[in-house]
Amino acid sequence: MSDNLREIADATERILVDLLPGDEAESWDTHTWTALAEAGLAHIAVTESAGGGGGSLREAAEVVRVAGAFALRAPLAETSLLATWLSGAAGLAIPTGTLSVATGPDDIRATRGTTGGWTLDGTARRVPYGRFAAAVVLVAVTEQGPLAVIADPAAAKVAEVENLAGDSVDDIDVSGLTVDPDRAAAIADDIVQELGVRLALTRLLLCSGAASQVLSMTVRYTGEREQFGRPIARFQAVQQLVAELAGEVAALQIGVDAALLALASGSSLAWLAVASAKTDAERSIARLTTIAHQVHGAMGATQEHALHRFTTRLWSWREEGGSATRWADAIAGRMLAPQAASLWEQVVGD
Amino acid sequence: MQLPETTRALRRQVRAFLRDEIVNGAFESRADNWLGGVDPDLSRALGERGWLGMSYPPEYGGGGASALDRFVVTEELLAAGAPVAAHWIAERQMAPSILRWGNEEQKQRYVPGVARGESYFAIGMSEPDSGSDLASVRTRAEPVDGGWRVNGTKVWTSNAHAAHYMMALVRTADRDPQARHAGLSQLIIDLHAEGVTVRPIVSLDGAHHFNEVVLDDVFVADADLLGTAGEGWKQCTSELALERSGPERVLSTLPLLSAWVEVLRAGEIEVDALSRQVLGALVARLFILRQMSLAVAAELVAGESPDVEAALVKELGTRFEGELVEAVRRVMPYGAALRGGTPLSSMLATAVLHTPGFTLRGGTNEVLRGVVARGLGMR
Repeated sequence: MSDNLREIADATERILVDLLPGDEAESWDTHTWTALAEAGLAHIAVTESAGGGGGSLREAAEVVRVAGAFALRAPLAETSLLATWLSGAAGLAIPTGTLSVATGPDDIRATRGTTGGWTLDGTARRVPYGRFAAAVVLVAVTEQGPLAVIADPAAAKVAEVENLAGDSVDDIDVSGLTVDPDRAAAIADDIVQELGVRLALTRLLLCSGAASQVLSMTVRYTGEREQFGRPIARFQAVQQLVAELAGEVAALQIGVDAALLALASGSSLAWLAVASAKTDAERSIARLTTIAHQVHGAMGATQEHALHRFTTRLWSWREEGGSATRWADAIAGRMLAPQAASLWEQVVGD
Repeated sequence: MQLPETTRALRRQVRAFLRDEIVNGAFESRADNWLGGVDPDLSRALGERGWLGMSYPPEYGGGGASALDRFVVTEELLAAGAPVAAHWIAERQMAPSILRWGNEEQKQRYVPGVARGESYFAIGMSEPDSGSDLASVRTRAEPVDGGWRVNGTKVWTSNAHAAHYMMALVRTADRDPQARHAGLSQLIIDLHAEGVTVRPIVSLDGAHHFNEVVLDDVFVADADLLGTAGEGWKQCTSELALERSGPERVLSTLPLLSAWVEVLRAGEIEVDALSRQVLGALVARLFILRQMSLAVAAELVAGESPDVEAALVKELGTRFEGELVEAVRRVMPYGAALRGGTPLSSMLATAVLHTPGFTLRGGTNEVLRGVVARGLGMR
């Protein structure tokens, strides 16, 4: 990691170390979120001319990764890498404040009203912290193609939903909502596809941070917990399990890093890199969380112990932005396309 | 990780050459052919094109190129299922060992032949009673006038019957229970010397890759001691990252996956949802493990010794090699065929029957997980 990226990650970490964990009884961590936003980390990737930090994808990504490592309860990834990006890519004025997007499949349709605005119909599903967001940036379907829309959740019907970690992932029924013309813009199909890729990448970055935390917590615990008169780290059976856990964490992180670098550099491998990482992450997460809980024993399955803060979020984030089943099918589609290059040529990219 | 354009151009050249060789019937693509396929003509042809010893210094017949150039050549050879077993170990491990630890005369004598694809080496590490516990080797070299007199037995010596030399780990001083790794040395043994007997150990598929090499009063000149007497353990374990992280720990069964996909694309087998799931999941894991192997290669280029990462690549990669075989097997409409059958069922047979070896050779996965646990500070 370059010095600059390291600095940004460290700055994020300092804020989170000082402020987390906030009051877990609260639905989200407004206190920490405000501190991050004031430090410019929420709008880090928005151009300076649009009032943002002018940071790169990789810089914003490192902030999201650290947020995952601290199980932050706020829509950081949704604001910094998705909602701001989509509104900017659509040529819309980028909203300020707390933003979110839909992480589940949606079926929103938009029809043009008489005054040039749009009327929406449908539900945005699994919108992280949707009930708290100042704006939600969505993709709606029109007869002319996809449309990016900045919607106000306060004007819509919000059904509160919680994921496995108890984090807000609300369903927002936008039916009947009207949107002014300056809050909606037609977008090309490849913007919609890139949104899907970026959504998957943000889930991977969060998982990468959380998985590294699970590994270090597990290694530490094996040194502290004693049974049969010695730390359980001394038992070969435990060593073998934790080594396998380390392997799955490494595979997850290599996949995430390759996906991030490919996307940031505009590589022709970017789609496959993200698709592969997202597909394989479910397998790695299943194995690494199983091992971490097994090694922690009953203690790890309590509210009192911090392990669950990371494992329950890994189990939630892996489901957002498309399941492994969906991504695997899409990979197969590319490998089997009649005129496509051979499997190996596609995997290597040249 | 983006490779330089010259490296990518090299990949295309190698790929085109191998495609022509297959079309011309020079060889048949097989799974795990870096262990099973001995073809000196192909090894020499690769040497002539400068594709062996690419990263060795030019004064010893090498190309002076980056190890990443070697990496892509290696990948293409594996992806094509080319029979490269003749030169594989010499080129990967033994010439680099000689370049690192050998003296000038040894480098001049042994390395250029490896780079030409003419001189082949076997690894003489394992013994009947020394597998994972390598430090317990008993093959003994006694100092005599002008050299050493060697007695003992090496086993699982891949392709010793096709090789010219064996790099043997031998005991040159008595065992010291307080210093288990002391007193070991590396000797370059001429497999055609007097007193050397190479006997086949036939694998469960009836093929002959492994051998038992019996050394009965074999004389080895002082000139064939590699490096320093007593430093053999350090010398041979220093090459483990090379042995463990290469693409052959991930791609051994890739030819089966590629062949299956070609059959699906040709419409010879119906593509159903289950096959698509299997294919997508395998490509995803392949993509990631390849990136992992590449990352270790890049660290080796940077002069680091990523032993723990190399152990992880081999642990995950060799399990993947077997999982690939099992996953493809489960969705194929017909089974494996040791003889007869379609080319795909024949390739499947080789892959199934070679699978037990993937997680054993070059360090068992249990030993590798021990290396990882040590890296994590647990032992």
